[in-house]
Amino acid sequence: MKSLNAFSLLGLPAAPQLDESLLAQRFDELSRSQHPDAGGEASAFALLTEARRQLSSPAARWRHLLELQFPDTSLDGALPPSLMDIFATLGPALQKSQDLLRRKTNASSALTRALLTTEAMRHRESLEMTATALADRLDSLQSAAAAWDGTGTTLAAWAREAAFLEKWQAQTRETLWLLAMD
Amino acid sequence: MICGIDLGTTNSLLGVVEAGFPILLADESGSRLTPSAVSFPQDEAAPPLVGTPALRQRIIHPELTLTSIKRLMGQTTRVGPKHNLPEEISALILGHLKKMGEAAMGQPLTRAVITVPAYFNDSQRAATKRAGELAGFTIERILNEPTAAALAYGLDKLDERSKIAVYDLGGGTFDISILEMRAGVFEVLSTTGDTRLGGDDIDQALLDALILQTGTPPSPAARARLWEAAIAAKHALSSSDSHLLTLPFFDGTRSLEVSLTRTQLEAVARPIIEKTRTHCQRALADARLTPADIHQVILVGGSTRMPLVHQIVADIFGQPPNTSQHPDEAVAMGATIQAGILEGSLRQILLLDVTPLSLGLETFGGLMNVIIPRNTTIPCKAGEMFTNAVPNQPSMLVRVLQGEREMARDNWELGQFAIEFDPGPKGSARVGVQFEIDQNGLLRVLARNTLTQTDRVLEIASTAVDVTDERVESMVSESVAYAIEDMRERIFVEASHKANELLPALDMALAQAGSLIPPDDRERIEAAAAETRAALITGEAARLKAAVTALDHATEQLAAAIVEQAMEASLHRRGLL
Repeated sequence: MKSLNAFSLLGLPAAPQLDESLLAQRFDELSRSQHPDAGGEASAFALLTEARRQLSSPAARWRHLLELQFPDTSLDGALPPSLMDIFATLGPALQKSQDLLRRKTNASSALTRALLTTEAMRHRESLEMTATALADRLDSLQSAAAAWDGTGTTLAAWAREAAFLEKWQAQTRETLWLLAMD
Repeated sequence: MICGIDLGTTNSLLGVVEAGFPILLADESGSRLTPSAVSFPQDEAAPPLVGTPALRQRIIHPELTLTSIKRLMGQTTRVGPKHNLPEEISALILGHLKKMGEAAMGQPLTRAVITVPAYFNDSQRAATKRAGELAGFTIERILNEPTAAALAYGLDKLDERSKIAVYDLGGGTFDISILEMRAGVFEVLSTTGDTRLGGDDIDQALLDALILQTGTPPSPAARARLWEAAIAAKHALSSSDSHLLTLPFFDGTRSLEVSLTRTQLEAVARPIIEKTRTHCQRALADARLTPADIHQVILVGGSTRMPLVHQIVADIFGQPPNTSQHPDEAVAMGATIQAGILEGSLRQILLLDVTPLSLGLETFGGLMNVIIPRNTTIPCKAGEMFTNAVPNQPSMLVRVLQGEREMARDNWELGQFAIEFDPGPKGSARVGVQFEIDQNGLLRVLARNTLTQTDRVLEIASTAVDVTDERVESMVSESVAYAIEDMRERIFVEASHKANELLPALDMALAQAGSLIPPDDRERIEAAAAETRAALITGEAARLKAAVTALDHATEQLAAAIVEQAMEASLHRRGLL
């Protein structure tokens, strides 16, 4: 779907910043004519939802904008060291949580599971702290997008960083959910 | 005219839109509910009975009567005296509804919307569609039941903007869906469930408890009577606190009289209903919402009449559930509303649904590679490029899977298809394959020939193994001889595994939290632990199992105390206490 221009499909300005309520409004308006139940084509509607998905995530949005406006600028590049610091805490925390979840699944009695609670709580605390750090960083990237310098290099750097932040956010969210289950 | 059909585990209904209003049609006796039961008369020439007459036969001829066939949809197992596929039995129910509807409307009904549990996979949906076609319908839509219920709830609230949860606990299936209503647009944000969880399981648990009381295993006919009585008791206990269950001469000689209280029923039902909690939390997490974001929790499905369900739902969502919808009729009303949308008589509504299960392919190493993630808005499509791994490879087989597990083998296999390559060096062939999920949640796989730019629909060969009745019977009789010895050994292995885990854990737990439990509790624990150690030495399977179970029970308070202690410590660390 390289040819897709999600911005023009949804009638939104091609910019790093997104007006979420306008996106929702445009999506609903267009759905009312393009959904198969309203006489539209399934493939046209599938493109519409794909466009919404691309614009909703900052990482996908910036990457998409980069491909549209700076096709020669590469997405590859170095990551800021502070981002690696976050991963230095997150990586081991995720791994230890996975290990704990395995032991919890294998435990056959309430008592053995109960004995794992202290460890589970410690992992949750650490992951919740990381989750906050990830959300803060994504927020500050999004606020920076208001004052974009108009270069592909900046856009590529944002897209790179946001891709990692979003991936880690999803992993953290999933692990926290599993830890919260009995 | 398109009709809407709720093909339920226990009951089925049919409706149409008349003069802009959805209505449900009744049979000649005035009933809108048709029991989803089929009975084959002993006289082979006579046509099968459907509905209430079939249900009456269940007591007399349980072996000739089929109920809850929905639980088997999508399977290739043959059932009943005529060795039918589950979809053929469903087709008989649908055919009966069709005739009933035609009699009520005075015109042929040939097009239908049929509902399915949201968590039905591709095979189960396809089987439902085939059942409809066998009954003589053109299937205009396979619609998810909780989504249908949301339509019924929202029909008179088209200018509202809110987020709702639909908790649908029926006879055999459970679904939870989170939707956003945006001025006539109904968008499903997430859905999950269990296609083998429902009121049937409560009936079964209650029946087991009753059989235990009578002491001996009943004959099929006596069992059928006990079953009916269990269901009646369950229903009665939704509105009263106790129920006297009387079955005179239920097995020809003995009579049964048991007084059941709602508390007793709830003790049996609670573990079954509690299974819905994780699903609700999963649906919320997938929609990235918390219980506080949900404006209404709509209850549908017959099993939500139980007061215990209200309690548990209120606890999960932190608010009393909304019981404005008729538990048995909301889904059929919604199916009828969707029929109206499709025929153009209800124009202001648009429904956006999702695919409940992730779709993926098996990759090297037996892993599942997700192509379309769960909760993607449908219709949707995704492409994947394939190439030859060795020179001149003629073709490759691709396994298509649905599910959320990491390993391919843990997911539901929909089937496999073959991709053909033109001869050439390794990596030279390029075949693009497109996966499309349509508005019905049904999958279509297309292969694109890059030279001719043409698409070809790939046939997915079902890989479900067909097990014949004879084979099942021989498997059963073979295993019976070994079963008793097997079972004794398995019980001992399982129980000793648990004992060896529990005993060291107990030492640790007592050291850590022994002071938090009353002394007599501690005495009970120590007695149970001593009995477990003794049984381990003597090697008696039954004794060990009983001892471990007792130890498990005895340590419940201790386990709860440890969890509480750990949570409190965590709150302290975070400065919240």
